[in-house]
Amino acid sequence: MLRFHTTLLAALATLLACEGTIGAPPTTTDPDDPTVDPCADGVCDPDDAFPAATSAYPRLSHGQYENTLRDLFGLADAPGLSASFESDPSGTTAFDNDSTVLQVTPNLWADYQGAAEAMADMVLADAELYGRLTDGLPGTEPERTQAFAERFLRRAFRRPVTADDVQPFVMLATQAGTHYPDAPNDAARVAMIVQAALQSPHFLYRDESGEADDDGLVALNDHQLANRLSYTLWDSMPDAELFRAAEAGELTEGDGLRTQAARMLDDAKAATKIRSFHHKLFDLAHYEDVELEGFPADIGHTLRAEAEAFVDDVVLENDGGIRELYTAPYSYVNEDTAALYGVEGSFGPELERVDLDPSQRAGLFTQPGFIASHDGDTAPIHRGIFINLYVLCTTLPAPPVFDPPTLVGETRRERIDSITGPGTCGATCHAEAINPIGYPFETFDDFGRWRTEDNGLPINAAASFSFEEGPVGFDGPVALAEAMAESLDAHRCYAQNWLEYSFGRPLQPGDSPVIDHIARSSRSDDLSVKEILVGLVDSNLFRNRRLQPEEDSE
Amino acid sequence: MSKKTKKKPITRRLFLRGAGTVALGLPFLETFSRFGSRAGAQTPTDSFAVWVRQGNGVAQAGNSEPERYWPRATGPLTTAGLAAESDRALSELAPYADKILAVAGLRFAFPGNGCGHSGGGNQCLTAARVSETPSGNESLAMGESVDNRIARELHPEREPLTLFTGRKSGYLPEVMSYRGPLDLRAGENDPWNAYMRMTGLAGMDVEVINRIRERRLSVNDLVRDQMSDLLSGDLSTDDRRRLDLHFSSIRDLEVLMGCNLPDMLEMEVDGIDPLSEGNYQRVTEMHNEIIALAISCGYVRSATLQLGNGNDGTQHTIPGYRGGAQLPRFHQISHRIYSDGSEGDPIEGAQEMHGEIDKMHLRLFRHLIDRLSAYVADTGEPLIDRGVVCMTNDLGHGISHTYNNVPFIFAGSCGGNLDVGKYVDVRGGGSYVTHNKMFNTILSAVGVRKADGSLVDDFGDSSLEGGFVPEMIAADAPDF
Repeated sequence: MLRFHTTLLAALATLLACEGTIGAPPTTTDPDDPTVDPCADGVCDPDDAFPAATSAYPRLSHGQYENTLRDLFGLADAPGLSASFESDPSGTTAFDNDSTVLQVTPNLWADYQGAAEAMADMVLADAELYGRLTDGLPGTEPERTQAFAERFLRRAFRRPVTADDVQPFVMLATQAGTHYPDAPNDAARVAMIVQAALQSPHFLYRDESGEADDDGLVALNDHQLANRLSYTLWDSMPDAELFRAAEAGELTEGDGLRTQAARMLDDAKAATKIRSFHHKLFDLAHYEDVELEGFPADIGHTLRAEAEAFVDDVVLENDGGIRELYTAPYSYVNEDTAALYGVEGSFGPELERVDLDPSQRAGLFTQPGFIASHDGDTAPIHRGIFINLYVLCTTLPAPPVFDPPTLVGETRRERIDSITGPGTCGATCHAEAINPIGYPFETFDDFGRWRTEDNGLPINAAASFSFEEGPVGFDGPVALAEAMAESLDAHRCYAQNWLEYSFGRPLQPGDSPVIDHIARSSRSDDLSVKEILVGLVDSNLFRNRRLQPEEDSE
Repeated sequence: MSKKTKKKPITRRLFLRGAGTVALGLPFLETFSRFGSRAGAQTPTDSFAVWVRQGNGVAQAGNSEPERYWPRATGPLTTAGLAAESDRALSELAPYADKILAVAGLRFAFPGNGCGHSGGGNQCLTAARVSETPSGNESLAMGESVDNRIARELHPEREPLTLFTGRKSGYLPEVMSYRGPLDLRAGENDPWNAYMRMTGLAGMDVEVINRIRERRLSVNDLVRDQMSDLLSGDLSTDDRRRLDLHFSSIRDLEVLMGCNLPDMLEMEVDGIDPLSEGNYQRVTEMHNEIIALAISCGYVRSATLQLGNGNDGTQHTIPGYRGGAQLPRFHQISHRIYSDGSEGDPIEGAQEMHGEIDKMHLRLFRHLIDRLSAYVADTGEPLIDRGVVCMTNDLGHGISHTYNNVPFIFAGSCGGNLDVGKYVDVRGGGSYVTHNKMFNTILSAVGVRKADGSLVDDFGDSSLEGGFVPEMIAADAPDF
């Protein structure tokens, strides 16, 4: 995943003043042009959304590949075969599943080949697994091989299979005795089919091909929708119930898609995906790098565990949304971290939920993990950039690269203002966007402990930020959190990030009406994460795809 | 218009010989191994190029700091002369003075787009512009890299070897090798994975290998038919490009018989943790071994090795320096302060540390030269003389993040085409020279030609002035 990482700043570039304008909204709208934002004229109707131009054959991410093997073979855990796979290139989202950059290179092909052979070997070596795969098959050939191929390929390809699909595999299986001379014939046939199926493009890609209408829209069929749904919510293949719904034609009719989505969101596989989203978006892995003098060496791990427990509590146990994520005045502490909050009491090694001083703490970004993982003299800039990019989705133009000027001032804020504040060449991005978000956190030291002074001078944590609906002033991190939770920007940004992660593609202009609708509902009705996901799935963005440019014909 | 891809006939022939290899009577066994793997065995005459990249600039003069990198004077290099300048990093290459071509005065032509390291890394081997979108640390190159061009032209059956030392940060991991605009190739940071991809089946019993081969042939035929069906349908340009790459990636069994590392080293490669900072130098040496093996066996003719992340934050430990203490993060050392930005407490002796890190990297580069020198080409020369290896950087200097005077240190003459044994500043008292001309020189020296058979003089962005760097070309260069 390629993303902004504030401890590894791009040296001077990210620190120094940037130029240009903040945000780059389109200013025109054309209902026939899929490259412009349908909301640009100020009118935003979800029905005006137009589906993205996407690949007809998006490749499974490595995570999806693992989960699919787990579910295809009924394993308790993912087999871990992708650990040595060639890594995928970074995309343009904050996540590692941008399907626009996933492809099969020679190295990855070899990795797929080896993994397929390893799975076939596992089937041969594991009697229980073999029994599960072949349970209920006819006892005699050629019916047995035919039946296995039909059943396995249907699940591996995640769609109905035709005789043309199956026949090459059955033919291949007839050579199994030569290829596996030491294995029983039945098992050899199964192994041959397994290893070939796992190298098939029908396994490695999702098939979203189809005939387009006059507007260039391809309406996904039931099985394509079932695949989209299961990889969106589970990062894995459809289960039996989803297959059934697809075969019954329920996903293209009525509320079938919504019903299945609601069911699937109650599954543990959805919880895993929801956790993974927050882990990646908020870069919780980065908390592991935190080292605090006088604290145990694994304090970073504890801070990460705290953030994860908090997210679980808010999102999964209490069906909360972003208001709670950004403002809830509680967290989880143990014997090592209680002191960071000034919480008194007896704590052991296990994390325990505690109520915090609501005048000092509000949500994820006032936790020591966020503060301490963006530390140092330039911390306000790091924190400001992170929240602008990943919480508010502010478009920050690239900063220029030049030699660093001299910083002057008694407090950290004064020093940063001396090169980036009003009246400097950084007046646009830093003074208007980055610094106002970073300065409220000056009420914390670099350990995340509350403080009132910097270098003997009172902390100035007041600032004003121009949200989409106008400027809002705040003084301190709690007021900032409240302002963000009340802003359309934060709700829109969260929905955008969910779209990019769950759909596995970058945001496109035609997504705006749906995102806007979800964002407004999220703010007014405190939508839960699950409700946001249902909102994304139950849209024409999900049911269709648009042909990509130059999608040619014979 | 649909594209039907034809199956490639198998044309490579069995060719097994060399130390540790048994001449097997298996005429159907496909292999790329043409030569033995052990030092001293016969190796190919084909030229090659290897590109090694250190990050964060070098401790050269600038920003009021003294020179710690380049030799004191341009001109011929001698072992004694280089060794006498132990305060300069290039002294580490003294044993190979007669094979070194140290080129100063080159610059990257284009500005970065929000991140100095990303912009430098992207241009480093491409001489291409930096993308407008994505930008910042996510920016990419808008052109093909030189290693890809060499592989594509001279060894099209295989992509270049793309290796990486260290843990990949989420901020800016690999930056070097591009198939084309925006198409960045992943770097392999586990030498065992790289080695296994190259030699994975070589240690198996021949009967087993043949069985696997037959099985794969059958499966591959089935998969190729399926891919052909997909490719015959209506596809977008992007989907066709991706599926074409997939189709061409399907390979039949490749067994690099007789090409393997010594047993003890193989076991060490298998066991090492490639992500541990403490293993940085040893993992790099293992990558060097694999590169040398791969070239000696004809497995590739082009490779890259990126040392550390795009803005390398490795905390190095250098034996014998400062009592073997772990140094601050290299990126911060390059800024001279305990910060990745511009404000922070000064790191005492940071420029000296940077110079020592430069030396450490050049020792690792020397190890690569060692390994390539240990193989003998069938011309009787050390293999290093048939090709070229290059040590370069994403920046000229760490503090300023300048793209001027980015070091390009070459070893090997590409069969006499390069004027080795000297240090040259190609500015000649004038302006910096854009480094695309250096690539044209190397591409032509390695044997790449334009479609009309002429020397390559137009690599990189089309807006750049073409041509060569004459100072790099030997007076009696056979190919110029």
